[in-house]
Amino acid sequence: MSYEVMVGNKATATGCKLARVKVAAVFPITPQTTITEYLSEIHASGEMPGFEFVNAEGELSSQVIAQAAEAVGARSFTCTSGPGLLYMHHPMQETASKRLPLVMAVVHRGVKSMQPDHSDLMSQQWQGWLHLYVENAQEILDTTIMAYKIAEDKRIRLPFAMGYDGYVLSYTAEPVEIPAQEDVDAFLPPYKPMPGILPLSGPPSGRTSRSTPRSSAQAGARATP
Amino acid sequence: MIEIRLHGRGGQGAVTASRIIATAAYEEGKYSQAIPMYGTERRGAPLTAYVRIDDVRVRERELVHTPGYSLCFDPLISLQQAVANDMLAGGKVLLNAPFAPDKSELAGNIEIATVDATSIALETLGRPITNTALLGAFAKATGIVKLESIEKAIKKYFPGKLGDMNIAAVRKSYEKVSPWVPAKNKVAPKMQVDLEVGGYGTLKDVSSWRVFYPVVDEAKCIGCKTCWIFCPEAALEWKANNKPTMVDRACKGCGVCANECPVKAIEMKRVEIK
Repeated sequence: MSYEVMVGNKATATGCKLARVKVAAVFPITPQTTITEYLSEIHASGEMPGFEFVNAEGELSSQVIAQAAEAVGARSFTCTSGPGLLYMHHPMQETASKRLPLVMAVVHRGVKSMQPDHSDLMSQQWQGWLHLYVENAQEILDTTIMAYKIAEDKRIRLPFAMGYDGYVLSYTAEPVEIPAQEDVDAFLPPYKPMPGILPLSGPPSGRTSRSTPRSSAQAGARATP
Repeated sequence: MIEIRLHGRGGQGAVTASRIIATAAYEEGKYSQAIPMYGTERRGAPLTAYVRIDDVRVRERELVHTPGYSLCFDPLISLQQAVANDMLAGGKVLLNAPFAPDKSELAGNIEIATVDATSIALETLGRPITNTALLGAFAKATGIVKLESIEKAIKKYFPGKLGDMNIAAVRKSYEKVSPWVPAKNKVAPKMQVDLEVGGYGTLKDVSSWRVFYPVVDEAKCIGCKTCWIFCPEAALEWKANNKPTMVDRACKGCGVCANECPVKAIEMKRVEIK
């Protein structure tokens, strides 16, 4: 175990490194930007062999890339803030309905302002994601590691959103205990993808209705059970 | 709980300094917190940062409103009353200023110490980045953190040769800091100059941001307008004789013009502070 005085965003990136994340697909937005920077630094330094860093062209694609990576069995990560979260609203629903254990850090920022408030993640309450709101930089690091353990549990299998206040936590530096890599490895085994609950091509009902047009007789039969 | 407020400008490393103080305090077994407070970051814009140091974990997350210590990294911001406002009674204000502390006009129930951090930074680093050049003075004058802890923290933030240069700056300012002197003015006047971040060069007077200002050697100038193209603040005016001149209120002293000039006709001169 070691210590470092670090900002909240660095704690997130350190948590990802310790959790041995394979793919990070991110698009920078204040106040999340420095997570992107720290992750790209980790990627460039070569500390994590096999780590893929994708600088997506927008939040929608960052969510889709992370979702696809998770679907093929790579432990993935994405992060965003405020308006960026609303932009990934649509693929977020798909991540939850495919039951993919993706972890996302949401650095709170008002949807209409730069100030930290919870209106961004609160607006995504019924997306099927687990939410956890944390209090300090230490909790950010611990929760990032914990999030994978919870999300990848067979009994849960849900995407996980960790929320923390922009500026107040993201840019404030405070002492953080960094657990040893062996301890994290013992706590968090490598990700083993589970067979999908739904086929990735979509629910079968959608295909049948399109491929076999409903006759008027069938429609009538359904109307009168 | 010890609360510290840091004043500086974008590019002087005030935010890094706040993190170095927090790291140094943690090295000594105390808990600490470093909070930056700035808007749209850019070089030269005034900013503040805050540090809290305590024996137990700091749970407070509010900005610091009544600091016991105030540090100023900029020689021109050091002249502004905002640096000494809202202090605790007997609060200590450490200024980067080329004059003795009894010359300072800052008012209030405060004590003032000064160190010429800009000169120290120019001697040791070659650039007016004054953060480390004030931290040695901070360690000596306040005794909140030891010099060794500051050096240890600097090595974490600046590895290699850059760290050694910064440690040289810290040691020099540790020796050169003045003793504490009570402020001669007890009643604070109205705040004279604002410390706002907003506004752009052509719209707002940024003449107080400069450490250096450009001087054009008209004999060397070939009138190619390279400086005019590269100036980020549109702070160069074209005279009738096809030579550039500085717009006083718009130039923030970044030195881009001098760097880009193909015939090196622009020299950056240091602003004199009386």
